[in-house]
Amino acid sequence: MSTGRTEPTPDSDPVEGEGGGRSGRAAAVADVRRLTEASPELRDAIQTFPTGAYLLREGGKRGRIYCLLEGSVTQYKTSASGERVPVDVVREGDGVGLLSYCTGNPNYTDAVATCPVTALVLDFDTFGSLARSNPPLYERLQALIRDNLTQRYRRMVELHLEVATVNAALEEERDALRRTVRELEDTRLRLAHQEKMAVLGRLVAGLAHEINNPAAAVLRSVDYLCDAFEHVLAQLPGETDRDIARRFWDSGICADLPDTATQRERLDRLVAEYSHVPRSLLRRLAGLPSEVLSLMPDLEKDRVERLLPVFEAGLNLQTIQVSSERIQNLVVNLKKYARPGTEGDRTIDLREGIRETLLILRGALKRFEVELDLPDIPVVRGDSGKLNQVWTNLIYNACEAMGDAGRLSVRCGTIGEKRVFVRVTDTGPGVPEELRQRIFEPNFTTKEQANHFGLGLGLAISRDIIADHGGELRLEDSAEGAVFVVELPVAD
Amino acid sequence: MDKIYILCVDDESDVLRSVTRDLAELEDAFPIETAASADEADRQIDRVFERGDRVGLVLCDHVMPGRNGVDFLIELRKRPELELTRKVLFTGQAGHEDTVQAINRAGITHYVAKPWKREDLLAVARDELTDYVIDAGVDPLAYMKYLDKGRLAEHVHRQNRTHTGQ
Repeated sequence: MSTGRTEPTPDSDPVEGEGGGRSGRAAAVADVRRLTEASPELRDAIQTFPTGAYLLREGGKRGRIYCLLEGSVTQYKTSASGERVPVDVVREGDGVGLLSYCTGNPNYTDAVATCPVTALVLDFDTFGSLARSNPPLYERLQALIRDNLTQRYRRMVELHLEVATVNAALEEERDALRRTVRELEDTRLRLAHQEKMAVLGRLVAGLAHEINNPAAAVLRSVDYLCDAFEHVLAQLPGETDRDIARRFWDSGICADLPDTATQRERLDRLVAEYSHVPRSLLRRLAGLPSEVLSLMPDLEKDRVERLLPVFEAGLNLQTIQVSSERIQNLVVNLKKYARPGTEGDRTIDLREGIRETLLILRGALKRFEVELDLPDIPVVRGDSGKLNQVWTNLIYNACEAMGDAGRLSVRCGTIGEKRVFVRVTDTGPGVPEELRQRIFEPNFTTKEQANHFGLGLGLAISRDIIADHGGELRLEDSAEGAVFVVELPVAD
Repeated sequence: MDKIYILCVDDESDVLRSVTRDLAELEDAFPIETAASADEADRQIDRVFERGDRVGLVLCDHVMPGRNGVDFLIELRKRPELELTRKVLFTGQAGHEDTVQAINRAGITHYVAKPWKREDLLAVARDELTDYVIDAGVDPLAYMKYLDKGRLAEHVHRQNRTHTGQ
């Protein structure tokens, strides 16, 4: 290349330097225009194009290159999915059709005038012959093209950097979205669970109410029946008979059922003594206290047939009474237990809720030894229904962990003057080190079929509930089993 | 003649009392023993065998303090003298898993849900004891009155045929 007005260096070229780039380029463009206009054979080479005119069509073979003297051109490339994407904007001094000229391939992009454009338009042959016919113009154009290519390379590098930055930002945004989705899912699960518990609470309360009425009716009827029966007994002829019948009745209605060993002992004795009497009858007689039994010497058939039913009527009425009292008790506790959470803020003796919960879970607890240490503690403020949910979770988990046998211990106490604690300990396998962090996460469960309390949300929700009460639920280290501790602030 | 016992196991005395009452009409042929826990039941079984008697039917609750019913029945299976003994589990709240266990491993022959009806429990006990009498090769004549007459008669008939055949 011959030396022109300025000596190009690799780092700063005459037309596109950081400092005087624009003016350098403008000067080069002015030179091109001047040199072209000075050449009579290139008189028609400067052309104008209206906005929207196509200088090149992608895939076309026009065999021309353009050097923009005024205006700008946007290049479009059609993507694999058929979308037409603007890829570059070409300004004055830039070339269009260079790629096709260098490679001989069809046009790589569309080139459309973005505004009225003036350009020097040369077919490939004319451009090639300029080297000989018009060396100064050829040199100017060569310099512009070189700058243009350099600029495009820079632009490509910048684009790569931009893509990397955008990707990083996208990745971050995607992570944030993922987190949000997970949080939403958690919230949804918790809400669903809370809704389920609320529905369950209403159901239980309704059921308890429904059971309460018939249970009360049964209890009242037992009272009437007792009165009626005593009245009938009082009508019996003969004072002695009346008294004896009365004693059978009393020992039935007040009988303290002996344990199986005592019953067996009595039965064995009777079997030995009265081998002629059927065993099924002796079993019934074995329920009688010995002083009442002695009122039927030799188990004389007549007397037994008359008096044993009196004893048994009393005994059965007693069973009905005790059983329906048990139902009523259960109902009362169920009602308290399932008290709707709307009551919100009350002062609560934590031990009441714990006792209610233990009663509700009585069936599940049968398999275990239960150790309670519940001394007087100050009241706390909160929602007893929700706290009951916590006790249920902790106690139920302990039962599940222990399987078929073990010892459950529930203790409470104070920490200083401001806080109380409840500690639930089991003798199950404990929580392995690697799971200790995870057990409070939603959806964590060790139960193979999660059909018990459902969602593996127990501890997550319990922790939330305790946190809402200004307290803390945590797992403590222990040599044996698992130890969960709830700490709550004392009510002001 | 050695006696065939019925053993009832339940931790609630009310339930135990109602089982023995419901089965009272069988007791004159099949004495009933009761136990409030699996451990006590084990001791009662020992006692029955010590006297030279046998256990024909065990009725057992599932949910009990200490060992539960299914575990108790699983262990019974290890005693050869109880091989033919019929085993019935009753319970109000066994889950599906417990039931599968009971059938697969404890060899129970019947499952009764609480609360039951007296005639149903009686029918189950009768049926199971009939099986026991036939399987154990006990002379059925003494039990005709209490058990399934039809099946016992058929059994006797078949036996006689075999004997004459020989």
